Order: sequence, then C-alpha cells, then structure tokens
Amino acid sequence: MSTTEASITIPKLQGEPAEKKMVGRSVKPRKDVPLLKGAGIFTDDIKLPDMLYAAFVRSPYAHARIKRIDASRALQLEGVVWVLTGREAARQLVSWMNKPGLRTPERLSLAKEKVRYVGEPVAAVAASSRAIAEDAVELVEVEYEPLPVVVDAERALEAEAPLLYEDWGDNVLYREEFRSGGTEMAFKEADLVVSERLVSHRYSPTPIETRAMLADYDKEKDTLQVWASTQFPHVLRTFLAQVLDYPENRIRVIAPNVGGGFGIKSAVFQDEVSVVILSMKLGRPVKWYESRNEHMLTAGHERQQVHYIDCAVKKDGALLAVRDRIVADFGVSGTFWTEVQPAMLTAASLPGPYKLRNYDFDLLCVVTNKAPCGPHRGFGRPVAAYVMERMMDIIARKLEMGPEEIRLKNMIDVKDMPWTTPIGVLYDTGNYKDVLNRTLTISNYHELRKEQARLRKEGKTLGLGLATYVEYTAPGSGRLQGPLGWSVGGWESCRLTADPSGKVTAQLGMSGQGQAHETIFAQIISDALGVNFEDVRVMEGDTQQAPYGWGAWASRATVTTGGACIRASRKLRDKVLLIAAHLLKEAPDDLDFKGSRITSKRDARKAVSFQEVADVAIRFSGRLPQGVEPGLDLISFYEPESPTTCSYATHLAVVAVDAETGFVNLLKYFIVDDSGVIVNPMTAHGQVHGALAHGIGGAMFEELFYDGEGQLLSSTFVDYLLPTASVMPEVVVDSIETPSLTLGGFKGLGEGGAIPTAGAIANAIDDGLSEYGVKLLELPITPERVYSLITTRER
Amino acid sequence: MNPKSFEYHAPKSVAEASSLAEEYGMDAKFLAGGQSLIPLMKLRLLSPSHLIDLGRIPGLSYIRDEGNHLAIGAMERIAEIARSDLVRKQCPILSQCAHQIADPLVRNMGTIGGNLSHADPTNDMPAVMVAAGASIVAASGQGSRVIPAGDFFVDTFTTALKGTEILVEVKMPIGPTRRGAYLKLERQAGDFGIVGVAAVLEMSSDGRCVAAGIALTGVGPTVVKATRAGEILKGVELDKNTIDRASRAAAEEAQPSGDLRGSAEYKRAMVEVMTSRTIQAAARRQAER
Amino acid sequence: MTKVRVSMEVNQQMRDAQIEPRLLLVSFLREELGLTGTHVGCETTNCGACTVLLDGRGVKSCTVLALQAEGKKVTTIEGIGTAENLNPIQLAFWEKHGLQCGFCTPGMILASYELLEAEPDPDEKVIREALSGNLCRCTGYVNIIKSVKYAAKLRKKGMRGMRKGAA
Repeated sequence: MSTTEASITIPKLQGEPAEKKMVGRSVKPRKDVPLLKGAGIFTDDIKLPDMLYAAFVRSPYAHARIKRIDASRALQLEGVVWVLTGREAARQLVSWMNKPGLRTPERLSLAKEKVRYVGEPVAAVAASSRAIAEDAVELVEVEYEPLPVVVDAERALEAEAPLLYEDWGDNVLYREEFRSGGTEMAFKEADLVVSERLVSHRYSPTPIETRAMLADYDKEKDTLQVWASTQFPHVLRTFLAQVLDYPENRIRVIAPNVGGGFGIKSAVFQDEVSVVILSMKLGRPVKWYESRNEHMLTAGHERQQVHYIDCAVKKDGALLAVRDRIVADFGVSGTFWTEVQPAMLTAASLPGPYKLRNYDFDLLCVVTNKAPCGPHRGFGRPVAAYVMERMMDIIARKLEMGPEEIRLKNMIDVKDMPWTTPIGVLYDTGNYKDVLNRTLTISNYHELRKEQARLRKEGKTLGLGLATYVEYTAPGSGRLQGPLGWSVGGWESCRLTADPSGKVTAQLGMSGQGQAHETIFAQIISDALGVNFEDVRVMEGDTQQAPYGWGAWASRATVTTGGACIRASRKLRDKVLLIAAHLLKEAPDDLDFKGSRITSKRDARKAVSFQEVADVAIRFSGRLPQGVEPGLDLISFYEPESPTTCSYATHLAVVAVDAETGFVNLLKYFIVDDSGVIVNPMTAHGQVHGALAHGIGGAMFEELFYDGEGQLLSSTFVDYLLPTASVMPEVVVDSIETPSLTLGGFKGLGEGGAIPTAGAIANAIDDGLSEYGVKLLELPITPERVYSLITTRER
Repeated sequence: MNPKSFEYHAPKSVAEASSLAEEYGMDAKFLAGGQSLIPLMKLRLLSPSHLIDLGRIPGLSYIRDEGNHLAIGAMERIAEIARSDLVRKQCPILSQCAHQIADPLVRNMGTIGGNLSHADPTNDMPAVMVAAGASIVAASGQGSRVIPAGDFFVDTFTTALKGTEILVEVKMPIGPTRRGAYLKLERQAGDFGIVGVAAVLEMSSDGRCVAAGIALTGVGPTVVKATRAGEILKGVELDKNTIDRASRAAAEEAQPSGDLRGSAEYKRAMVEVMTSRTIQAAARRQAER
Repeated sequence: MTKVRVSMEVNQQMRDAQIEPRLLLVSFLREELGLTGTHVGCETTNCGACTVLLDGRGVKSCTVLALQAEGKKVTTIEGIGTAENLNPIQLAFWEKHGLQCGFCTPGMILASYELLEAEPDPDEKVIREALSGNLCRCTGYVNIIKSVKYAAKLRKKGMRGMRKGAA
C-alpha cells in the first residue's frame, strides 16, 4: 500500500504572483525541532522546588451515598502532606450556558454527599512523590451506601428509574423541540416513509498526553500560576477565578506543549479544581498528571445517542421531510463549558448538505450513572452525519438508486447558495455536488464498482461507502450567545509588536495542541503585513502575555485567529506606511510593503526597510510625523462576518469484509474537502488524516463499555482500542477551495475528517454485504456485530 | 501509576531463585520480562512484597537445535524467537506465533517462559505448546523435572509449577513430517485475540495425517486442547469434510465465555472458522525441515 | 522501603542512583536524570510514548523496572542525533510532517530507529507492523509512514548522523 495525496490548488491573490505569498505553501512547522529532540516541554516535564504530587481517591460505585471518609491512615504515611475531602473544600463547577429548561446539576470538585459515577473524585491527596500519593489513595477509607444504578438513557426515562438528582423528579437534563412548520404536510405527500432506530456509542478523544496540571500558589505574592494541558488558557483562568472566588488578575495560566487535545482539553473537570485548591491551601506547587485509567473513567465521553428517525421521500428520491427523536446520554452531566451543546449540534447539523425544508426534532438530554459527556473532535456532528448518511443509503436501496445518485438528487445546488437550513443556519459558500463528483473521479468510483462485481463472482466482498456532511465551524458570537445560549465569544485576538530590529512578535489568544499555529499564523501575517516570514514570531498559550482568546475548538482557529492576524497586520501596515511615507516624502498609497521593505511604486530607488521604520517608531521617535504615536504595538480582534463558516467534504470508504468472521478490512479511503482557503496544505492534510483516524477508531475500535452496574469495562488501552498503523487504510486527500466570506476566506478543518467516517464505513459494509440483506444500525462496527448481521440475515 | 513497594531480589542461579521463592512463599513473584506482571502491579491488581528477578541468571536465553526438538531457554525474548532463522526453518509454527504476540516492542522484553508461566488463557504460546506436545522443564534447588505441556496449564493464571519451581526450558518437538500453524483472530496487532488456534499435524509420506494436535487460545479458563478434533484428523486424508468435522468438534470442545471481544456464541463460531483455516494452513506448509 | 543501587549507561554516559526497587525505568529517566523526552501515555504497554532502546532494542520503559536495566545501555530520544544535527529519522519526520503535537514522536522515532537498523529498506507493510506498538492520535500514521520511508532513503544516502555506538 502506498499513501498518496492529490495536489491541492494554491490560491492566487489578486495581482500577486502566487510564489511570493506564504499562504498556500507547505511550510514545515517551526515547533517541530525541539519536539523531535525530546526537548519540547509538556506540563508533566516541569518540576518546581518543593513541589507536591496529587492523586485522587475515586468512587468504585456508580451511585452511592458517602457515609464516612477517614483519611487518618493516609495522613500517617510518610510523605503525605494533606488529604482534601469534599466536606472540607467542595466547589461547584460553574456553567456558562443559560437556556430555558436547562437544569443545573450538582457538579462539585469533590463529591460531598453522593457519588454518581465510577471514577468520581472523592478525595485528593498531596504527597512528596507520585508513588506515595498513590499509596496514600489506597489508605483513605471511604464508606459508601450503594444506591440503585441506571446506565441506559432510555431506561432512565422510565417512571420507576433511579434518580440521579432527587429534586428534579426525573432524569432529564434538557429538552428541546423544533418544528419547521411544513413537516406534517410533507409526510402526507410522501411516496415513501423510511423509519429507523440508529444508535451511536460512547467513545473518547484520548489524546496520548492525558490531562495534566501544575498549580503554584505563591503565598507571599498572593498569585496563582497554573500550567495546564489545555486548549483554552484564558477560559480556564476565568473559570478558576469564578469557581475559587479569587481575583482573575492574580492568575496566570500557561499552556506549554500540549500532547493532543481533540476537544477534551476544552473542558474543565472536577479533579483539576482540587489540584489548585491543594496548592492554595498548602502554599506549595502541586502537580497532577492523570493516569490513563483515570482518563478513561472520567474524561471526554461523547456521542452516545439513540435516534428514531422518519424520512419522507418521493419516488424519485427527493427528500421532503425529516422527523428525528433523539435521546442523548449525558452521563451525570455535561462538562464545563459545553454542557448539552454536543447534542444540540447533532440536532442542528442533521440536515447536512441537503435541500431539506421540513425538519422537526425532539431532543432529550438524559442523565445516567456514567462519566460526564464532554467535547470530542467532531462534537455531536459525527452522530448527525452517521444518522443522515445511513438513511440516505437505506432510502437509496429501497428506491433502487445508487448512493451517489440520491445524494446528488438532494444536495443543495451551487446556484441555491447561500442556503438557510430549516433551523436557520446559513450556509455561506460551497459546491457540494462538485466535491461529491470529484470524490467519484479521484477514486475511479465506476471502476471500483466493476471490480466489486468481479470480486463478488469469486465470492469476495468489496464494499463502497459514501458519506458527506456540512460542518458548522467558527460560530460567531451572535450564534453562540443567541440560539446556543452560551456566554462565549466567537472572536479571537492578535497582538502585534514590532521591535527596533524589525522583527515582529504576534501574541495570540488562541492556543494550539499540534496544529502548527506558530507557522500558519506567521504565514498569514507575513503576507498581510509585508514582513518576511522568518521575521515573524508567533506566541500562544500564556494569559499573562496574550490578549484574551477562546481557544482551539469548533475548527475555528484559522478562521478566527487568522482573521485577527490579518486585521492586526493591516492596522500595523497602515501605521508603517504612514511613517514610511513621511520618511520617503511620498503618499502612503503610493508605497508598496513587502519582503520587509517599503518601496515607492513610482520610483523603486526610494525605499526604506521595515527595520528602519520600526527603529524610528521606537528609538528615534523624534523623526515620526506629527500626530503619530510612537511604538508599533497594537491589538486587533476579529469576529467572522458570517454566523458560522461551513466546511464540508465527501468521504468514500472502500472495505473488504470477511463474511465468515465479520472482520472488516479498510482498504482505501478517499476524501475531497472544501475548507476554504488553505494556509498550509501539508499541515491541513495532516489535520484531515488525524481526524480520519479518530473517525475510524470510533467507527470500529473504540468503545467505552459500561456494564449494568455502571462499571467501565474498557478502562485502559488494553480494552479501549485506538487504531494502530497496521489498521489504517491507504488515504487519498484532495481539496477544492471555495473561499468563505471571512477575512482570508478560511473555513476551518480540524474536525471534519472525523465527522462522516462511521457513516462511510457502515455504508461500505452494507454495500459489500448487500446480498445478505445486511442493515447496520448500531455502532461500533465490531466483527461480532457484522457477523451476527450476516448470520441472522436481517430483513 | 506505580507499583506498591516491594523488595527486589536478583538471584544469580536457579537454585538461589528457588530458595528465595521458598523463603517468601506466597508473598513473592518471579519476574521474567515483566510485560504482563508489571502492568498488573502498576494497576495494583497484584502487589507482591518480594520480586525475584530471573533476568540476571546467566544461561537462560538460547535457542538450540537438539535434533528431535528445539530447546529454548525460558528467558529467551519473544522477539528473538520471532527473528530466529533456526526457528523459522525448523519450527515455523513457533515463529508464526511469536510474530503475533503483542507488538514488536513488547516482544523485545517479553519472554517465552513468562508467556507460558503467566498462564493467561489469551496468551498465544500455550496453545502452540499443547498442540505440538511440547515439554516444559521446571527446575528448583532440588533438581528438575519435565512436564508435558498438556499437563502444565491447570487453570487461569495457574500452572503445574510448584511455588519453588522455575520454568527453565521449553522443548519444542520438530521433525520432517510435522507441519504446524497458529492463526489468531484479533482486531489489531497488540490486542488480545478473540480466538487463536494452533494445529500441528504429523503427516505420512502418502499425504495422510498420522496424528494431530489442536489447541485453542482464549476460549476457556486456560488453553483448551481440542482432543476430539485431533482424533478426527488422525489416520485420514485431510479433505474438506474431515476438516469441517474436526473444526466443528473443536468448536464444541471450546469453553468460551463472553467479554468485550465477543460473546461466547461468537467465539465458538470463530473457533470453527479458525480451526478450519489453521488446519488448512498447516497442511499447506512444506515439511518443516 | 530500602533503596538499592542501580547503574546503567544512558546515552553513552554511566549513570547510577540509589532508588526504590519499584522505580520504573521511565521514572528513572524522567525524574532522576531529567530526561523528559521520554513520555508516559498509557502505562499498560499499549501506547509506546515511553519507548527507549535497551541494548539497541525498543522497549516500553513504563513497563520495565529501572533495575531490569542494570548494567545495560539505554538510548533515549535525547541520545539520538545531536543538538545541532538531527538524526535522519528526525529530519525525515520534520520534512514529511510526521508529527503534530509531538508527544508520541520520541517513541515513534526510537521504534523507527530499531526498525531501520534491522531493516534498512522496509516496505510499507513492514513499517506499519514495526510501529504497531506505538499509538499516535494526531497524524493517523499517514505521514509517519511516509517519514519512515523517507528516513530509509536519507540513511541510504549516508546521512546517518548518529553518533557511533550510541545505541
């Protein structure tokens, strides 16, 4: 097998030869070299004098009352400094979401009266070494009174189900209804109604670096410094200030190298708060590096939903209306700060790229005795794409249409853009049919179909599965604070500073976890400002240096921070031109600024270096034109013009199925995507590859499996399988670039690869096994699930 | 995650290791490569007070051709077995099995002795040993004895070794008429298998099967010897019907229980499929030397 | 608990320390020697972020006691290549974008190192198999596989870069 990548079109900006631009080039990431040498510093690599290590006592029960906690034996162990319990210092984790009907569950940093899932933190130990802290955990005696457990969301809705929060009277965290108006009528007009129950399971992003935090409270200075493996340092700072009731301007949060995030690190869980409380109480640095087992028990569970969907269609395949009832299993609650957003996004994004005018949904978010539901690369959208794309194939088969045919029939045409979905999401730009057709072309789809027929005669099974989606990326403040009810901004920031030597530093409110931000934003700034790429340094992840920002989530970094970089660059450029014009005795409009040099358009001999302008602005400010302030230092904020940008792609999975065992072999995987203008094709495709692996893992390997007592059976990597190099298919990625309406034309792409994957693979398996009448409805696609579908020959 | 504290012993001879085991009894565990033991200790599912490291006893890592068998030292790394030309030529089933154990890095630490004495029903080596009728040499301060592989695996994590005995050598029968294969159904490299099947056939010159050993991984409290399946193959030509009957018999002999990797029914069905494939793979092999 | 003495050669330097017997090799490297390039990602021999070379063979140092390395040669990511000159494998990972967050990278590089020492010209299947004990969550392995192929090429060109005997 070989790995290929089709070439990608490099955008040409008006009037500029493409080769002079940095945007569009595959520049190698700058941060790589230290990482390659093992010199990149991650949170657990930091050691401070006098530092203590935290470890947690966690509930072995899924639901129980805490009768008694006795830490005396633990406190006697040499090296143990303190054992914190909920009675001493439990803090409620705040919520930033306010929607009518959204309940506020008890969410304490340490459980006080009651535990509601296995792994919930009950006490926090601080000791002189990690091993001693772990020894002490075993010595803390906790007496529990077990309570009845409910692990299944549909069972949790039954009248006699155990209640997680007694005062609620039921287990419903949130409910939402949407009616677009014409749905009932459309169902009456349908030639065919197709109804299914589709199930998506619980899995987790599992970055290889688990959660990590080092809190250092300085009693003398009364300051708190926190190093955290986080995707949103500023949000974490505000959160800590609120939860601990401590002045925010005395907190500094630093995200050093972060070993992968994928959503989970844009959440704050219970344990992290106790690490800070321990440091503040003891006046010493306290470090916690989560074990994999703890991570599996507590962090990043998402996607567990049941859908009861009805589709109204015409004989020609036209989709008239969709009705969906969604039961989303949130475990004990949502996490800070996304709460019930993942399931809301599932419901919102279900229509995908289709001309669907009538859409009703009922969303029920239910609590169960499992770990809280947190953000996970794809964020609700993979479930939507799974449901919709399965339905497309199921309908196509009923109507004896090809899977590509029914999609092309229903896709929004380019002439209908911009398009507004029934719930009011505006699709800005895109050409869905073009991307689908291009997928068919690059994959030699029709040849693959012939190959399939040939193999079938030999008794071999080859399956082709298409799936598509529209991803709402970079939501703006209007959408976040309006329909989503969220106290979150959709903007980002960039502070640009030039020094007398003519070098530029950008401080970003954004924070990365391996997306090459230091490189791609330098590419953007270099083009927008006119300064050489090598002279632009990009820094992130320190709240004391960078302006406020919201972090890397919703595939938003390039769109929002990219825009902020362009805006800051333009502002700085204007000032530079003003100064240069004065120095050159020219009008600013008559000047060119590129390659760190400002030149007269009329007379190339009249030129000044950016370095000299910067030096004038700072050290020789007496030479500044009148009324111009000294310094080259400014901050810009950028909020995308569209309510959301819309990336999309078509995926094609090619699989072989061993009908005797149910084993599925991923042979080849094609992706054509449109993420708007691509800054760095190499790193962009890297994002797509990685997201695809998440999608494949979720579709086929990864499952957080709870037994009836609420015990997590896949609580280490021994039982929770991440895909390895040996199971990844050959991947072909191709892109088209339809610029979005934002500054820079970016759309964002970090999550897309993970969105339609389960749908594409399930469709491929169904397709390959069509002779058996197989219909895959539940995830994950385990060998046994496929085998039993074949042997029972459903339908 | 760290193990609980323990006292560490690094004996220089088998006799010394054995006497340490006698002294500390149930509080002690032998450490070979540690690839199963150390994770269990880190998860604190096992917390021995004394760890007796066999890694510094000289002369326990070797692969020797002894004519009618390969003698393999207990501390021989799985990776060395996997990359040994001698093993590949003389005993392909063993090579094939070694390649399927865990992943390349774990194989670099893991030992054949550890794999066998851990007696995890999902470990792969036991089935190969039982199918091949291998012998296991156990030694203590008082001398040594040979235990047939068929008698070695008693129950989950339990072998016929006495507390003071150490597995020191494996004797793997070889010969020009023996053909063996080990196939495993696993979701990906490094995962525990769903089922594994070892088949060793003794073939006559006219292409009949003179004797057959079939053993199963992952479908019982310990390795399962599919005796009836072996008997069905004995003395007959390996046609489809015979292989089908033997495979069905193996499935009946399996004692699977359900877990995350599959239900008991699925595993039983997979024993049938994999037994058939393994017998055919073994039969296809050229004579082993 | 009584401490015991352990000594081993780490990146060509003799190192010894009084340690608790339970100290894992990865903790010895990270905590005692400050070699924090070796990472911990799963603790159950699955992820390979802690991969180091022990007498030239890749092992998962979170599942090896420091005492098991007594008298042996350990090579960590800090011992591959030099500060100024990257090893060809490191170079190849950089060139082909074989890393994103960089957390699994030291383990990937050491596992690749062992592979290329044994098999200078591996095909894709062999590369995939050799890396099957190292998990990456960022790259989907696509560019890692490319990187290893490219590293093989660079090594053939004689850019060995590795200090003699370091592994």
